[in-house]
Amino acid sequence: MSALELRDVVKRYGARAALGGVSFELAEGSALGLLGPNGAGKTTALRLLLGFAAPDSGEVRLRGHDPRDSRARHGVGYLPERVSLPDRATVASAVALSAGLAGLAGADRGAAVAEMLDYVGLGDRARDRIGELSKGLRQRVGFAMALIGKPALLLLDEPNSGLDPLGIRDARTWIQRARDGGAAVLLCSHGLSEIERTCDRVAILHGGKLAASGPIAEIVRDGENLEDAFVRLVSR
Amino acid sequence: MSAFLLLWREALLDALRRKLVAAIGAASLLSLMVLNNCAGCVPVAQVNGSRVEGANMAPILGIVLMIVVGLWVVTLAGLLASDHLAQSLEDGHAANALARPVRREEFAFARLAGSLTVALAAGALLLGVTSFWLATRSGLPALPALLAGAACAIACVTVAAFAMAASLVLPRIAIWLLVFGLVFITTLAASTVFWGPPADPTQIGGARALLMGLDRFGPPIASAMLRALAPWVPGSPLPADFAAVFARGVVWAALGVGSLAAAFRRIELK
Repeated sequence: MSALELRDVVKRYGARAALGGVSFELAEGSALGLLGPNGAGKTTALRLLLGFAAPDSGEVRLRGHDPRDSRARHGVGYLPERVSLPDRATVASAVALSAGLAGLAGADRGAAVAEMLDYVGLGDRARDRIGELSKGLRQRVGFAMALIGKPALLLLDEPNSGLDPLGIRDARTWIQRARDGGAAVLLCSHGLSEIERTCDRVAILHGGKLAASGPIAEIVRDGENLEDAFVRLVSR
Repeated sequence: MSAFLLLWREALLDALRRKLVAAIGAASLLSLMVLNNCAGCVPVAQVNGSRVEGANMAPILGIVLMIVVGLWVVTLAGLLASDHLAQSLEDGHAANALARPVRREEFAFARLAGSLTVALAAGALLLGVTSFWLATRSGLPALPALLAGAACAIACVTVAAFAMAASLVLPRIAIWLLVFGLVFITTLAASTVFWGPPADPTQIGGARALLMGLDRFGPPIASAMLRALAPWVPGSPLPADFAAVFARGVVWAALGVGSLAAAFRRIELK
């Protein structure tokens, strides 16, 4: 079973096709980088995968289910591009809610929250209000919310957004450890070097179409890096 | 704890954090102070040139007080619900929750329950204190007040659910106007039917017919409370159609909740 799959998916907003017949899949336990210039359809693909929107045609599967079925989202961790949380909520309460919704209960939940906050470097900020945090620290809260409950599938939209170099290195470690633990990862990012380090395969979207898809080694030609291949593919 | 309870708790905390709730608290205190005076006064009125003592006025005064307080609570429920779900869509809370195994209905109902908890708590306090004062100071029985409270709670669910569903497509100011408009027009309809002259079956159409139709088929907001309180007037039993009107209120509440679920299932999250 694929961790996720899009098959001939079309999604229109008015006359504009955000996705025009896109197909790709992510195998269990592997990591796929979803690339594309601004407006290529990456976020639309993520929204369809999470059941936030429905495709006009084609099929979307998340862990074997229609993503609009809540069962599909069991074991899924999601980090949005902009981590938006109520300013008055505390760091611990935001992560605890995510833990509860992930199925953790009782004492397990409290222990998991404390452990996760330590893991993402927010152990001493548990009682701080979200509104008092910098963008980078909010991103760490977002990571904690996505990672708690040991998800089998991580959907990460620009995970390095707002992070400083140390944070970026930490984020890379968290993603790698999740992968080592057997999680599949879909990583949407403009950080091509990050994708190159983290993912085995890439899918490159351009103008709502799939410009290329496959193992990085097959997409990058001799003498190129991923950035060169990306520019070549989206300039055609 | 189930996902619904977790989300309800979060929705309740969100509702309590809002500035509007502080205003509601202040307004409720002021209302209690006014009610304290009204429920304790001994009015004297001239009716057809005759002097009517306070004791005889108490039932009418009590009914008016309870209806005014009840309508204020229903309006409050609508205003609180008017952006409680829409706000969670804007601030990203909905997306965070719905990325987990949470059904759309579960999330929407938890938001509705969170805002209703605040409105119903304010309602229980205000209607409870008012009916207690009316019982101890004027000797009005408690059962009609209890039935009116139940009718008020059902009306709160109806107005809040429709307001929340409408907030998915309309701006907050439009919802506020709709809430005020709905409460006003249904109260006008109920008053017209309750206290107006009997309907002339030979005359069909016009504003009065519209109001009568609204009172007969629309959400019985003031209508159910008026019927519940009728036994306060000496010699007036509970109207025969009270159960039917109450049941219509429940049907309207179910329609409101159903329309909220349907509307939230259809929208696309950002």
